[in-house]
Amino acid sequence: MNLFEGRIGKQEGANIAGIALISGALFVLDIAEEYRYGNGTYVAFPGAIFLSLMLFLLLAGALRVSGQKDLTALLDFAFGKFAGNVFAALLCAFLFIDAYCLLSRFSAMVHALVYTKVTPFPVLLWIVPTVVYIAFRGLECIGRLAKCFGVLLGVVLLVELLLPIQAYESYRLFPLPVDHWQSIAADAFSGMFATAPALLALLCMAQGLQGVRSAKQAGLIGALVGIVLAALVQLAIGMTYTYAELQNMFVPLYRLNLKLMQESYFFREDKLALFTWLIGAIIAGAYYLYGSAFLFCRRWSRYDVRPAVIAGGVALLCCIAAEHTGQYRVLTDAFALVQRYGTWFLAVPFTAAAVVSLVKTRIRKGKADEKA
Amino acid sequence: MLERILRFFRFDRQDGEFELLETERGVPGFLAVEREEAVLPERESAEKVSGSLAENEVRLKSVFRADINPDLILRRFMMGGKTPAFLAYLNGMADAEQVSDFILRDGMRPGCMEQAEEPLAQYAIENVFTMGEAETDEAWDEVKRAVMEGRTAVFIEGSEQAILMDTRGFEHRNVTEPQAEKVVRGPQEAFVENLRTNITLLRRILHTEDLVCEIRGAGGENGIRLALAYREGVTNITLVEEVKRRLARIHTRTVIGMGMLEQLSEKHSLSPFPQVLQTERPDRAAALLMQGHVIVLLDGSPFASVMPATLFTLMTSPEDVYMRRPQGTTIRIVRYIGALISILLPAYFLALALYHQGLLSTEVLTTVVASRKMVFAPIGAEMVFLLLVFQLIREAGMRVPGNIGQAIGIIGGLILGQAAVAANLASSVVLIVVALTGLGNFCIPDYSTQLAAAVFRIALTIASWVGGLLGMCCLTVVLVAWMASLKSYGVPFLAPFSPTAHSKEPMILRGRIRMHRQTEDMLNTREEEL
Amino acid sequence: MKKHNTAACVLLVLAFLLPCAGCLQGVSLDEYGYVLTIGVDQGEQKEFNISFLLQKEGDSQEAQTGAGAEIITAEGDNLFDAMMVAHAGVPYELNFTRMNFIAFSDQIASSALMDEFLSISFSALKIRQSAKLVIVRGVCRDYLDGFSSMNIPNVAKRQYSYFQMYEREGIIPITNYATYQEAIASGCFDVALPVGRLDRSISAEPDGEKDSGKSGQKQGEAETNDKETTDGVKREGGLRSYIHGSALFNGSRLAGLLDDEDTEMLLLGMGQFENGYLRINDEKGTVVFLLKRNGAPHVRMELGDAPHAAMEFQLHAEIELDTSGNAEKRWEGELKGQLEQYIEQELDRVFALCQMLDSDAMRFGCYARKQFSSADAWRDYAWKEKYRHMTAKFSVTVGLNDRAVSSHLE
Repeated sequence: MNLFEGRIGKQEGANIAGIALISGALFVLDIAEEYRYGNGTYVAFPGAIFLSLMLFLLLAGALRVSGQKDLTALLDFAFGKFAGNVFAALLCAFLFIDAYCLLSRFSAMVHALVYTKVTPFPVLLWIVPTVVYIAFRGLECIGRLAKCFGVLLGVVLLVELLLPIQAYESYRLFPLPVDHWQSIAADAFSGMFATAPALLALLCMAQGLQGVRSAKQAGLIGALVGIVLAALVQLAIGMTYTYAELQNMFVPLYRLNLKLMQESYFFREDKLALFTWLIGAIIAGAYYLYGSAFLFCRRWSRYDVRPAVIAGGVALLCCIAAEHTGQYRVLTDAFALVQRYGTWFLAVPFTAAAVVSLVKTRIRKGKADEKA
Repeated sequence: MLERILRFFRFDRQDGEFELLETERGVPGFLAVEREEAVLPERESAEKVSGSLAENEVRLKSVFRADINPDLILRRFMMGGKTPAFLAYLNGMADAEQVSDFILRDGMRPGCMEQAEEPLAQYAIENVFTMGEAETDEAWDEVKRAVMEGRTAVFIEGSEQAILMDTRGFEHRNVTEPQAEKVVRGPQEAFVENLRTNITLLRRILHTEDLVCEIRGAGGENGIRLALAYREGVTNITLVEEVKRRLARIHTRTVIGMGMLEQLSEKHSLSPFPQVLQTERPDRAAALLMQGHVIVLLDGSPFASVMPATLFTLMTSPEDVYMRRPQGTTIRIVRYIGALISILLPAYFLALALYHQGLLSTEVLTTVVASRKMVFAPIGAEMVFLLLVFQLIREAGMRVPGNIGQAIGIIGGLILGQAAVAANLASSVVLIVVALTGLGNFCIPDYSTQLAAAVFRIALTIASWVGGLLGMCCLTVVLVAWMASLKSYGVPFLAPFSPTAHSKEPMILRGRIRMHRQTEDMLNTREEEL
Repeated sequence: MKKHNTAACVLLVLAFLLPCAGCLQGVSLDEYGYVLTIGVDQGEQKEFNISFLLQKEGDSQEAQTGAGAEIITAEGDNLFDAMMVAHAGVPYELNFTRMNFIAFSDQIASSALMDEFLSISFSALKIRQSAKLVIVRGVCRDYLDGFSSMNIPNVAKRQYSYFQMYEREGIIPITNYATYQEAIASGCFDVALPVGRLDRSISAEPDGEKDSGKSGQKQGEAETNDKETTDGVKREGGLRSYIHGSALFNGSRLAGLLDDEDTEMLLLGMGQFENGYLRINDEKGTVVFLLKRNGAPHVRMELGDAPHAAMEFQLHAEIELDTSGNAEKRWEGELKGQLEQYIEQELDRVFALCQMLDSDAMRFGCYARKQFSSADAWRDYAWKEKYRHMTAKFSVTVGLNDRAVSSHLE
């Protein structure tokens, strides 16, 4: 079996998790619908990462207690082989969907904001092969790439937040959607579909991260950074645009410095920032694609992850291209469905897996003690 | 509690965080097909030296085609006036005076073999010949190789061993100043083509008893030799074994220069980046040797190959450590900026000019538009053309003798550039971009890395010509991904940045000299284990 | 095995080569004409008469002679129509990525046409939403003509001079398209835009250096009128076009104009005041103060059917000119009170003016919405209705800076 896991350290793992979580929270979740009752995204988006982190820590704890080596083993331990297969397939599908959502969103962004003269397809032809190439080189390559660009991405994001600081106005955050706290909580929960798979995949590849403990620390650090940055970015967006504007806005993060009255050369560099985020999306997309192929091979193929990566890449290209033609409404509807109900299919089975494995371990331990 | 929290956030490298070396059989191939086994060199023949003088003479004459090859000198003489013997050496390769004074004269001294006892060859070394470096050998191949190297072989009737004495005395270049790695402060001597001299240059700097120089064949049919230098007991033995294994796999017609040896021993032959560092400076080689690297010296090549090589090693100049820390750090930062300018600037400018004009200020836009008013070629073609012209000037400057090369640089850079602008073949702004690129390129200290940067530069320029910043961005990610997955003798190319190692040397900022007390963490030296 | 690897590599390379068909459609920068400003007037045949001010490059690589501005005017029912017409007569494509200003004639701004013009999508043209908006008294075409000068070939530099006016003198507001959109979408404030005017007493070509290009001819033909000076004051030299005072909006329509002194007060009320001069004349002499803001205003809002706002300002004053010679001594007992009272009265007056024009240019709505806990409640409150009945109390505190620091005898 050649899964190209390699061996990566905690820094690499934390960078992968951070990049995937921030990309998911800022670009997959950030849609106009989130602003329908006011602007609560600076709570909802970090909240989605936080809830994912809780699930992740629960599963990591279950892995530690039960002594299983990775998440797929835990699923088998908790539910048996058949149910384990089903839930692994579910996670595999979610990873693919996340890759699809992220890359679809970015290709639409790059097309709409920069290459307006062409259709989105040529843009896709640049992005998807790059993603496939990185996923093809394996987890080690993804991890190192994430580490190389992680700091750069963070710095660019912070600079993007700092440059228009004069244009931030606190009144734009108002009215605070205090009366809609249930909606914010619901948004945070449903947003887990874009954030939880990134962390769960870390547990699936725990061996590549030198064990569950290392994976847990990497995920925790990545998620904490993700929570802080997602909150900061959404807060900055909220202080730049009112919720009424955001309801009709495509990628507000890109337009962060448009409210500034006095611009200079650096304020025009927002396209550069867009392409820097694209690098983040490519890394995150490659991670999701690799994670999906990895899970598939680990459970069913036991062969080589690379053909699965290429097959996944081609499927990704076809799906996004089909979506951009506008003729396949089913894809958009499916995405809406996943966005609304997807989290239930993630949160419930994996929480159950953690609980069942903890109970099972306890019972076994009790029996062993009795025998002793 | 605080300590626990701090420990949690520390990114300490754990054992086995990364593999130092690839597995013996390498990474399994696509679709999990097994990779070919390593081709091992054919075993050397077990032919021995004969006890019969006549037989040895005939064999030698036959092997060296003595009937048509006057280079081989065979000289019969009577040792101590009673024991028949003959010596063999290649004319010009061996020093005839040494042969006359210390072999023939001593060997023909009357009575020197009076108390001779078996083995005769050993007796002769100990009692007859006054040569410093002499040994006995019974392997026929070894004798042949010794004669070809310029040593003298002495055969004695009745002895099944030949005496091999170092009489090498061929003409060679003296130690001179380095040509490609000049420094202001620091030693001013460079390796030469003579293997022995090169080893001596190393040993002059490294007075350590653990320095080992293994001499072995380079693997070519031309029979040239190489020296494998490392610190026994310090250098990771797996690394040494890996280097030896790769060198042993070389089986080709000719090995002449270090460049050939590098290509024959590396794994990623398509990589634009070199996987070994080639240096002509003994001080640099010695410093890396002390850090736990392995050095290969090849007879006939004035370069040392350092294994493994990482990006940061390739971007380091030997002068960095000779300067004070702030100066060294500043120069390193400038070097990295120069390298980035060299690789990215033409592509970035082209992307902005073709796709993202809004990112250029109105003033710059107006200037560029004015400069391109009468230029016939599309800006992308103009840029690629000028980049190629730059390479042309550089190549022409390198191939002609010293002062004329400088003149070509001036003619190419100034007169040709000015004329091209005046003739509207090129615009002045693009010319400035290419000139800056050239300057940045020369900031890269390693020649092979300079060439790699040129490849990347042209690839990125073409990518941004067809895809703007998107093309440039995607190709940059691919190139970094390539570097991230590249390994030089098992050590990741981006180490010690990724994977992280304890000792941060060499990285972008120059560390303290005190840090040089330790060997490099990324090499997993045995000193570290202890 | 190697064959498989090679095949995979070839496939990947091919995938990368696919976009090499040039399908991203790059256009070289010298094939564009860079529009720096758009001027929108009422059209005769079509709805709009749109003027494009383009930056003209120098004649050659070495020299920048001939650089300046070029104006192309075309009529159309929207920007795209006008562009189509303009394209017909030029050998390049219009590029809007460097556009900084959109100027509307007061005639357009007073009607619903401004909103109609801005309702089209700018993203296809890559017009940045940070483009500043200007209202022109008269015809925008003439106003843009007034920009052209061989002495100042870099038209973009004009943008910076506006900011200097805004920051140093505080006599014009600065508003961009994004803020205008925010005002329309959120409904919690109205915008105030700078007003561009033409000093017709200045000859179009005073030094005779101008080339005989299209715009030059037009300007050369323009007649001078000594009565239309810079805000009523005679000026000689410089550009014909200048910017002065502010235009108040009620939603998307121009409601009225304020002069430079009222604009200073308006900026103070908006919390955007940076610097400004204020003069006190009495029998003891003249004292000119340079006022600087000291933090954002503090506002307390009481909502209801007739909302009430209490607004507190803190300002720093520096004495720039003192003919009485003892202004510093008179500060505490006399001048401070006078100054504060004067500013409060002026603020009251400008607020009343804004309210009369139904323009919440001082942005009280922004403070009001902070008291709501849901978007629906804010919408139901109907701020603009309540604003008509709003009362405001302004209180100003001015502190004098250290004399050593603020001395004008340098």
